Amino acid sequence: MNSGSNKFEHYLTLKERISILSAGTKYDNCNQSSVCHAFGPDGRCIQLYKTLLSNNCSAECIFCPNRSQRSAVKTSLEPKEIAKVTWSLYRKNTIEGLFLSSGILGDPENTSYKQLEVVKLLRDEGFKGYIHVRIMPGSPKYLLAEISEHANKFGVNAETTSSLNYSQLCPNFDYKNDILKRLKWTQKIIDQKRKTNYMNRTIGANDTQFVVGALDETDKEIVTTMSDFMKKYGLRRPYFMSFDPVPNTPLENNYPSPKWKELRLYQLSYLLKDYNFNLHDFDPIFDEHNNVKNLDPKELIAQNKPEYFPIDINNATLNELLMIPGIGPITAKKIFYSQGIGCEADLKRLGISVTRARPYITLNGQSQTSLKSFMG
Amino acid sequence: MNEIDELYVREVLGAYLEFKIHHHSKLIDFAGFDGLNKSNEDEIIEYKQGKQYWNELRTDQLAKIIFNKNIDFTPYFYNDILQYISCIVRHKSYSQFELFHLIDECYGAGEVLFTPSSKLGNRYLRFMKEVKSELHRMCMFVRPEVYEKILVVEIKPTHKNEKHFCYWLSKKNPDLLVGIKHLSYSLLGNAQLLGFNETVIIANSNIIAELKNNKVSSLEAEEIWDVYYNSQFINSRRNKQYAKQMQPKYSSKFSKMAKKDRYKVEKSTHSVTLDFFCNNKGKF
Repeated sequence: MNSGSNKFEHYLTLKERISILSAGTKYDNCNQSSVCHAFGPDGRCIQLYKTLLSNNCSAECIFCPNRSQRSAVKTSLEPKEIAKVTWSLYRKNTIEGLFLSSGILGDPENTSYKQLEVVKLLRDEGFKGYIHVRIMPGSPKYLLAEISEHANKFGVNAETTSSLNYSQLCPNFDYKNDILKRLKWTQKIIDQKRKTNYMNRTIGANDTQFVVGALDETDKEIVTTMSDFMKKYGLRRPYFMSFDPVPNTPLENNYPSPKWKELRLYQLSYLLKDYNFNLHDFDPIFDEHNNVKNLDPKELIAQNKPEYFPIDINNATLNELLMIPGIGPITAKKIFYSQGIGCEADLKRLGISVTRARPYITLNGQSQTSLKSFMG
Repeated sequence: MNEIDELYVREVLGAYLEFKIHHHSKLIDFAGFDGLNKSNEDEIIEYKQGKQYWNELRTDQLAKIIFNKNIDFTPYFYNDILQYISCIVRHKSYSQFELFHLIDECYGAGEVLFTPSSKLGNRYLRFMKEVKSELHRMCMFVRPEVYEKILVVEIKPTHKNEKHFCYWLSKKNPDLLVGIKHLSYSLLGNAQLLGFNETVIIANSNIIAELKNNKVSSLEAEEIWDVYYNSQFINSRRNKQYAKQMQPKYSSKFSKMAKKDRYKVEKSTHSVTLDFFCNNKGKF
C-alpha cells in the first residue's frame, strides 16, 4: 500500500480537523435529514457525533473518498481530542452518543487499538452515552472483545455480496476472512453479552453496511445476502449507502445510484426483520434485471397474492395483519388486542393508512369491490 | 417506568381505587406539586389515609386490580397503560374526573385506552401523544449552560414535563448537579450528590445560583457543534421534508442553538461572509 500523492497539512486547527473528519463520514449518512441519528429503546430519536479517527487510510477501496491514492487533506484526531469533543457536545445536550469509524491507520490492529483507546477513555471518565464503533475489516478477535466491553454497538461493513465483488471493491482485504469471520465473532459476542445482561447497558444487534450501485451486482443479490446474514449472523440492521462517484477515484466516471433505491432496500429489510416476510415473497418486486422496482414493495407483494385477500380484520392473526399494506407491527398489535374494530374511523384512530389498507381488508363482512374484481 | 412515573401513576391508581370504594368521597387534585394545598384539612386526611393503604401495594399490583380483564397482561401493554396515565396527568388540560371516567369505561381492559371509541377517549389519546412528544423534543433540543459542578437551564414547557426532563438530564449526567429553572419554581437534579435521598427535589433558585461557579466555555461547544452540523450535509442528497420532521418548527422554542439549526433546515448551511473571501476560510 502506498500513500500516493497525499497532501499533508501540518497546521490544522482542532475545528478544521473536526470538520474534515466529520465530513469524511457524511457519505455513510444514509438519510440526509440532519446529523447522524439513532433511535433509543424508548423510540426517541437521538443525535450522534459521527467522526473518523483518521482519514489517512492505507487501503485502496475504489469507491472511497479516503482511499490512500486519492489526493486530499489527510488528518487525524487523537483519542483524547475525540473524547474531549464528545464530552463537550454531550454536556451541551447536542448529542447523546458517538459513532466512531476510521480509515485504516497502517494496519487494522493499530486502528482498532486506537478506537479502543477512545471508547475506554470515555467510559473511564464516566461517559454514559451511546457508543457505536465501526470495526475495521481484519480486526483481531481480542480487540473486538475488548471494544465490546465498552461500546453499545459494533459491526463491520460488508460493502458487497461476494468475495469476487469484494476483491474488486476493496482489494486490500479478503471477504471471507476479514468480513464474514468478524460478523460471526460479533454475533457470538452479542449473544454472550445479552445472556449476562451486559451490566444493564443497551447492546445493539449485529449491523453492517452495503454500498449500492458501485459494482454491477443486482439488488436481488443484495437482498439475498441481507437475508442470509440475518439467518447466519443475526443481522438486524443493514444500512445502505447509495454509490456517489467521488472525484479522483477509479469509479469517478460511473453513474450515481438512484437515491430511491436506498429507501426500497430499507423497506425490504424491515419486511424481512419485522414483518415475517421471506425471501421468496419478494419475487414480484424485482424487474427483469433483478433490480427493485420503484414501487411500495408490500403493496406489490399483496397485489400478487390475491388468494390471501381480503383479510377479515377482526378475525385475523398477527401475521395476517402484518401482510396488509398500511398496517405495521405496532398498529397490527393494536388491532389484535383491541375489542373489535367497528368502522374505518376506528382504524384511522389507530394510525392506519385506511386508503392503502382498504382494498385488502374486510370489515364487518364488507370489503371494497374494485373495478378489476367487478370485471372478473 | 422510572421512579417519577411510578410516583405519578401510583397516586392516580390509588386514588381511583379509593374513589371506587368510597363513592361519597370528594376528589382532590392528587397530581401536581401544590395540589394538596388547595384542599381543606379533612379531605387531606381522608386522602392521605387512602393513599397510605394503597401505597403498600406496588404499582403493577394496583394496575392488575384495575385492569384485570386482560388475561395476557403483556409487558407491552402494561408499560403502555402506565405511561399513558403518567402522560395524561401532566397535560395542561386534563381533568382527573375525566381520566377516572375513561379508566372506568375500560371495564378492566386497559388496551381500550389506545383504541378509543368516544370523543373523550380520542381527546385523551391526543393528550398523551402531545405530552410524550413535548418531552422527547425537550430531550433533543434543550441546551443547558455548562458549569463546573452544575448544568443549568431555564425551560417553559406547555405541560408539566419539567420534573421528567430534570430526571432525564440527571440520569444522563450522573456526576453533575442539574438545575432546572421553571416559571414558578426551580428543580435540582442529582440531589443525592448533596446528600438528599431523592434524585429530583424542588429547590430554591438561590441555591442553584450559588452552585454556578466556573462556567465551562459553552461558546466553544456551540462553535464545535456548528462546525460538525455544517460538515454533515451533501446538498444533492438533502431530504428537506424528513429534516423538517426530525426538527419541527416548534423545536426552535427550546433553545437558541435549536433555533439556529432549524433555520439551516429551512435555508442552507452555507454562509458566505467577507471573512470567507479575506481569509480563504471554508476551504474544507
